[in-house]
Amino acid sequence: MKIAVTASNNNGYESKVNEHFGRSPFFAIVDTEKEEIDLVKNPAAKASGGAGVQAAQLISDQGVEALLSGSVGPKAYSALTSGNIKMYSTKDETVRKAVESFENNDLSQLTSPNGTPRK
Amino acid sequence: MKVTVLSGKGGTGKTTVAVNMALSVPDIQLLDADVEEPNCQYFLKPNFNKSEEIYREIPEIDQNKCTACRKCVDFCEYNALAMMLDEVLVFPEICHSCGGCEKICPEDAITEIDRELGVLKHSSTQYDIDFWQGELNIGEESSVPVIEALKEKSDLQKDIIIDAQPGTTCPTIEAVVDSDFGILVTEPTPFGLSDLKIASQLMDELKIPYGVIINRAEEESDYIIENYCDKNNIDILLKIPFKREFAYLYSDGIPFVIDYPEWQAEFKKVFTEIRGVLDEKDYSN
Repeated sequence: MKIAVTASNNNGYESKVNEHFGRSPFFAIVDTEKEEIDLVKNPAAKASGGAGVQAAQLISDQGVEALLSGSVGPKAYSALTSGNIKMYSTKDETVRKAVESFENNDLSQLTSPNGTPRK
Repeated sequence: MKVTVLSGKGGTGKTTVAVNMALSVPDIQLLDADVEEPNCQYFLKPNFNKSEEIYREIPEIDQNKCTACRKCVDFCEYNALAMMLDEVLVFPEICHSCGGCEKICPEDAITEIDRELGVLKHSSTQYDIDFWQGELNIGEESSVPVIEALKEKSDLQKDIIIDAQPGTTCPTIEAVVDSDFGILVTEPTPFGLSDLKIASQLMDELKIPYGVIINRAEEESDYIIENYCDKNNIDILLKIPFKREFAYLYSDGIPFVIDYPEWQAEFKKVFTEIRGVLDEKDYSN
């Protein structure tokens, strides 16, 4: 299963989980079966508007089935829901820990947006 | 003559200046173009007798015709479109109504539909001011079309005062771009100065003449603004003192020229001065 984790920096599994989704500097795309990780730069990080939508498009194009993030804003939530991507809220510090928590079913699935859009 | 009141920093007193000036000059039209939070109304207590909805066009996708080619999604600079599971999603709040997606769609799957964006309200107030205000609907991101529509209400037979949104982004520029003069309202604090600098750069860029009004002026701190204006040859048109009485009136929604009519003369003088500056400019051209 392929999942995306918001990442503040580009340091493999030790990258820090980014609190926000849309303007997260990177996404860690993790294949949990193959145990492969790929850090993708998020072009929406510097978008003047619609960052959540653009970021949702990016991770959907990566073929992920789940997203781990501190928070997800309303437009991103709606786009990701349409894309059948499940969202999970995490407070873990590193991508490694977040993925572990996800695999242990320790993360709660978001059923509504929990972030606010920023301009 | 069209004069826009603006400021880099919010909360410096644009509305105070716009309203009190409108109450000091005869036969004026006041346009509240701070459409995200129009607050001239709290001082003018208007009875709105006319309102007009403002619409803009947003795309509607015919999913039967759409082949998921994705050209529209890639085209949209504002990320208002996304493609999820071969279906195009529209995010109307962030759409800038450019119409590009409709033109670029090879399948004719996109049509434009109206979306209400805001409203214009009109009132002749108890103070005999021809007053229009624009209101942006909650959740909308682009206020420019509302400001454009508001400006179409300009009565060019009258002198017009426009109360702009704070900052120096699109809505402020839209409010001021075709004005004859800009009044930059600031306060004698480092924040006031910092944002005044940005606002004056904007006015230089737009090549619109301008002057400064210092609100909440205090002798011991006015130098913060005065030094900058001196150095850059910017006229200080007026200083409104930091007075407890003015603050009380403000919190009761009373424009201070009502209780202090001597200030009407001050504002009128500023208005006459601005007209003088503009006449001189016309003459020298």
